[in-house]
Parts: sequence; C-alpha cells; structure tokens
Amino acid sequence: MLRWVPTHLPEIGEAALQHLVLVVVSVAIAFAISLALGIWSARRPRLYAVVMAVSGTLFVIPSLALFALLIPVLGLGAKPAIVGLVSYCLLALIRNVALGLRSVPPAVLDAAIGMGYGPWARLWRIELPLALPLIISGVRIATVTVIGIATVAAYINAGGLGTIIFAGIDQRFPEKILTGALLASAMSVTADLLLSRLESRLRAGGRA
Amino acid sequence: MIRLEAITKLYPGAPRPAVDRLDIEMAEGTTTALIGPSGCGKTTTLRMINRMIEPSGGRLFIDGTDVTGLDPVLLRRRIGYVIQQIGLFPHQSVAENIATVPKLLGWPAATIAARVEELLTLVGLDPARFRDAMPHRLSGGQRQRVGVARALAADPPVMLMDEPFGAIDPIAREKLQDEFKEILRRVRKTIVMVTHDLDEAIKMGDRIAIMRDGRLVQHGSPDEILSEPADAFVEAFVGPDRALKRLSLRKVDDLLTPGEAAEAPAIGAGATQREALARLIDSGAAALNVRDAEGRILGHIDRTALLDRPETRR
Amino acid sequence: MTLLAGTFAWMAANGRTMMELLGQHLEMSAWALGISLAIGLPLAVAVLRSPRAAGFAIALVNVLRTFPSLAILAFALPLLGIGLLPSVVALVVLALPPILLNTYVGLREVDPDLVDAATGLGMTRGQMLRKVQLPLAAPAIFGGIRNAAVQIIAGAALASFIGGGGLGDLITAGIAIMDVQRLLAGAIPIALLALAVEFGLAFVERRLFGKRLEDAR
Repeated sequence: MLRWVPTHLPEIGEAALQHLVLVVVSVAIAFAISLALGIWSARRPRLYAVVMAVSGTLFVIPSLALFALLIPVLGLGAKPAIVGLVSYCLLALIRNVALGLRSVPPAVLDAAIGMGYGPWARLWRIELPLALPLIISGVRIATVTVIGIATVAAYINAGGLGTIIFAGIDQRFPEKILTGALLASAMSVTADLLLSRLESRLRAGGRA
Repeated sequence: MIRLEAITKLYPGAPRPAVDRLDIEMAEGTTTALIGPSGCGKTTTLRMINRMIEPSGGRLFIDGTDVTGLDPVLLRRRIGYVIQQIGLFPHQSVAENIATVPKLLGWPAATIAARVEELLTLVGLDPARFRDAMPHRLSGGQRQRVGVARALAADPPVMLMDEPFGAIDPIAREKLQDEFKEILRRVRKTIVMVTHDLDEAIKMGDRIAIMRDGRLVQHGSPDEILSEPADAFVEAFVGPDRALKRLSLRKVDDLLTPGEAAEAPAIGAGATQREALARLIDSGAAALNVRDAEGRILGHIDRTALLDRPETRR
Repeated sequence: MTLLAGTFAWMAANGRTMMELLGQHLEMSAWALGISLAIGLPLAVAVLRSPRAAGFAIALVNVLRTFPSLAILAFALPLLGIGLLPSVVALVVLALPPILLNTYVGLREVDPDLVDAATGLGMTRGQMLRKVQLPLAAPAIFGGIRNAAVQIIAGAALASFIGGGGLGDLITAGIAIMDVQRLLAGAIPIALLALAVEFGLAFVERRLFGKRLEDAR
C-alpha cells in the first residue's frame, strides 16, 4: 500500500519541518502582538471591544482569500503566509490574555498594591503568572487552528505539509494526500496534548 | 383517594430497598405530609405515585383503580406535580406555563384562556399583570404560585408536592404556607407533600406519615403524632418541644373564658395557643384578653387554663 | 487604489463569469449546509439518550476536526472524483462538527429540573423535545449553524482545487497566471461573503435570542 512514503522520507521530513517553522514563527509573532494588545485592552472595555471586532473580522476571512489579498502587497512565499497565519491567531490569543488578566481576583490585586507593588511589578510578578494557564490555553487554540490553515499556505509557495497534499491533488495520488493530512493531524493532536498538559500543570501549580 | 399496597423500590446493587413494602392510604380531599430524615424514602415514595420512578413491586390505586399498569404519561396528566426547584419553563410566559397540561390534553384555546385567568386569581396573582410576564421577572414566591397553578390547570384529583416551599426564602415562606393551605382547602384535592420540616408538616398536613429506612413508622393526625409518638424514633424526631408544637395546632378561641380580665394584654382571635403562651411569658401577666378584628373583647384566656389541661400532661 | 479600480473594472467586464462562479459558490454552500443540518440535528437528538453513543460521536467528530479543511477536500477527490458532489460531501464533513456538538451540548444542558417538571406534567419524550428542550437549546444550535456556515463559505473557496468551481477558481487562476486583478476579483468577494454570513447571522442571532441572552444575565 505504501509505495511513495518509504522512498521519500527526507522530502516528507523537510515539509513537516517547514510546516512547524511556519506555525511556530506565526504563533510567536502573534503572541508578542497579543500580549501587548491584551495587556493594554484588558481593563479598557471600549478598546477591548474594538480589538475583538478587528481580530474577529480577520478570523472570519477565509484563508485562501486572505493569502490572495496579501499577494499584491507581499508577493508569494513565506512572508504573506506568516502575516496571514498571525492574523488568525490574534482572536484567540488576545481574548485569552485579557480573560486571564481579568480572572485575577481583585483581592489579590488589592493585597499586591497594599504591599507596595508598582504597576509593572504587579503585572510581571502577580497578574501574568496568574493569567498564565488561560494564556497557554489561547496559545493552544491558536496553534491548533494555524496548523490546519498552514496547509493552504503551500499554494502561495510557503512550503510545508500542504505541498504534499497539493502534489497529491495534482497527481490524483491518494497516498500523498493522506500523508500530508495525517501528518498535519498528528501535529495538531500533539500540540494540543502538550499544551493542555502544560496548561493543567500550571493550574495545579497555581493552586499549590 | 390514593392507596399504596406493599409498594417497594429496590435499586439494583443497593443493600436494602429504598422503599420497603409500604402500605398507606390517603383519603380523598386530605393533605398528607410525608416526612422523615434524608434517605428515608419519602421522595422516592412520592415519585412512585406518578411513576417518575417505577416501583419494583406492589400496587398503586388512585380512586380505586389500579394504575400500576397504566401508561405513565397519561397517568401524569391526571396528577398535579409541584417541585422544590419549581421548574417553570423560562422561554414561556406565565400563561403558557400554566396552560401546559390543558394544551397537552387538547383543550380549546378559549377554555384554556379562561382557566388560566381563574387559576391566576386563585393563587393570588393579578391576571392582567402576570399573564404575559416571563418567569425570570417573578420572585420565588410568585414563581411557586405559578408552579401550583400549573399543577392545578387540568383540575387533577391528585397533587404531588415535593418540598414546595424549599426554594422560598424564610420570610416569604410562612405567608405562602398560609395562603397555599387556604388554596388547597378550597380546591379539595388529595395531596401528598414531601417535607423535611416538621413545623411545615404540622401546619400543612391533615395527616402526617413519618418514614424511616424505607418504612412507614407512624401515620396519623398531627395531634396524634405529637401526643402519642409510636416509638422512641418518632419521639426523638418530633423533638422535646412537641408540647409547644401541639399548642400551635390549637386556637385561643378554644380556651375562652367569658368576660374581660383586668390589666391583661390583648391577643387577636384566631391566634394559636402557642402565641398566647409567648405573650404571657413576655408580659408576665396571668391572663390575656381575646379581641376580634373590630377590637371587641370576646373573653379572656387564663394562664392556668393554658398550662393545666389534662391532654397536655403526660 | 488603481489596483482596486482595476479589479472592479475586471469584475464589471467579466460580469457573467462572476455571477456564474458566485452562483456555484452559493449553491455548493447551501447544499452543504442543508445536508449537514439534516444529518447533524437528528444525530444530536439520537445520541442524547445514550451517553455511550454520544461519547463515540463526539470522539469521532473531534478526530475529524484535527484534519485540515484542505485535507478533507483533497480526500474527496480520489474517493468521489471531480465536480459538485465531492465538494459538497467534503463541506458537509467540515460543517458537521459544529452543528452536532452545539446541538448536543445545547440539548444536554437544559436544566434537569425542567425535564423533571415536564415529565411530571405528562409530556412524552417527543413533546418534551419540541416544547422544552429544542426551544431552550435554540441559541446554542443557532451558534453552531453560524459557525458551520462560515466554515462552509471558507471551505468552498478551496473547492476550486478539486474542480468544485466557485469563486476560488478566480484565485487559483489568478495565481497560476499571476493576474492580480483576477486574483482580487475572487478574493474580495469571498472575504465579503464570509463576513456577510458571519455578521448577518450574528445580527439574526441577536434579533432572535438577544433578549433572552440579556435576561439570562
């Protein structure tokens, strides 16, 4: 049954690695943006509503259309792909950063202020550590979403597992489609598992 | 009339039956309060009457017919059902909630509308104000009034009430109990009410059935239960203040001596003897004058008469 | 700006093609949504009474969700060939998870006290479903439908890769010959369509259930 896979392992490995790099770079950039926007907007309801509306709108635009819209500006390749993937991460990440920060009990904040923490110390030493489980949960959702969407990025020459799927479509070669699909699926299951484990460990740690 | 014959509920794997060969008869038009410690089987018994829980054995008669073999859905439409959580449908107006069973029975719309009107008035809610209200706008007491109206909608001969005052805050509870007692007296249903509150059972029940470990321990009028507890368990259950509880069953009117007592505080006619005793202790007086609603003195009640009656001695 | 103007000029000049592709896009999406509703809603009701069947269905749906949309469409090609049918089938597979999950969870989360009261009043299971469970689960079900509809519109753009037609054809052709105007003539309408579905259904949702959601607060 397996004719193509055993003889093309290096090629498959490279596609998987490219895919992983696309995802990790996108999530990392989106994380930096979201942390800033989330902290800024968490306790400003009107700003938060605007940020959510914009990131929600970006999230709804279909991936192929978004990549296509970026081509006139950024051309083909990894650059438009990463910009597109970043924009799909923002909704989940910003929301969870803000929810996490808001989940810190007012009494804890009060105590921190009372003990003489300044705003930045409070943020780094109290609020962000307590918000971490929810933030990681946002990272998990964003990562899983982007692993799937990144397959489409192959069509604008960004590489990754989508290359194998598109080759399979062009050649009517089910084995290639299946390989690309299963690897992407395995990658998202693994990411989901690892990040949920991290999340629950952080939650347990926070309680102790 | 409801008759349970050797009704039993045994859950698979349970060491003993939840309800064990229970025999009890509840006369038509009376209210029976089922009471006992938690886990005694009172709620299971109640829920077997409308077959929300299928009995594992025994037979159940309503108005002389064996309903054990009847379609439970049809049976339930002839039995009113009121629960502690009230369970009003939040997406339906008060009127729609009350109309539930009549609609299931296919009554014509005009009949249903008239019935809703009648029931709202009966439970003390102004139809014009409450008919179209949504349940979440109502207070707990108002919700349970609607709950009772819904249970009464198709005029079922039998009503089951599972802790009907359990979700009502204590301040509103007593007033609602008084009103429900009056409503239930007027509609003359055979009512089975589960409660864990002895005072509530004494107040609402014509008869009290005390259960323990799935068995019926004593079944009698509140006065019988309080004056002659069947065993040590019932005696402990009704508590050391049962003499006081008995006083709360009686009105001052029964102990009236003609004539006005000098320098005595007054108490309203219809007050319970327990209230009279409290006033006597409070005021340190030897007697209380009993006044009617217009303030006329009907007579007086003596401390010795209140304390020294043969039936309160043991 | 010239780019946009050029794109609109291209769209105007190719009005018939545009309409035809838009028609294909909508047709395939409508079929997919209709079929996934016809399967998902009854299935959610059917598994409601059996925790084991529900557990199995949810596990299956969660596995389905880990597959990229592109892969699901790609699978349909070797299995079903080219044309409308494989695309519709693939889109149904995409839309089923949100519909099934939201309906199931919505029905299951109806307050058990209400189910108890409805049973005690003498409702049959069917009456309970129609009069109590479905109306109360309606906001959750509608949320699932909205989610599914947006997924379908986005997925339908990918149908072009397996010969399913639709507005995605303009993007694939545009990339192939590097014709930016053609590319945008596909991308802009697809984006607007998805946004219209999302915000249109969100509006309907507020209209239908806004009061209830507010009351619940």
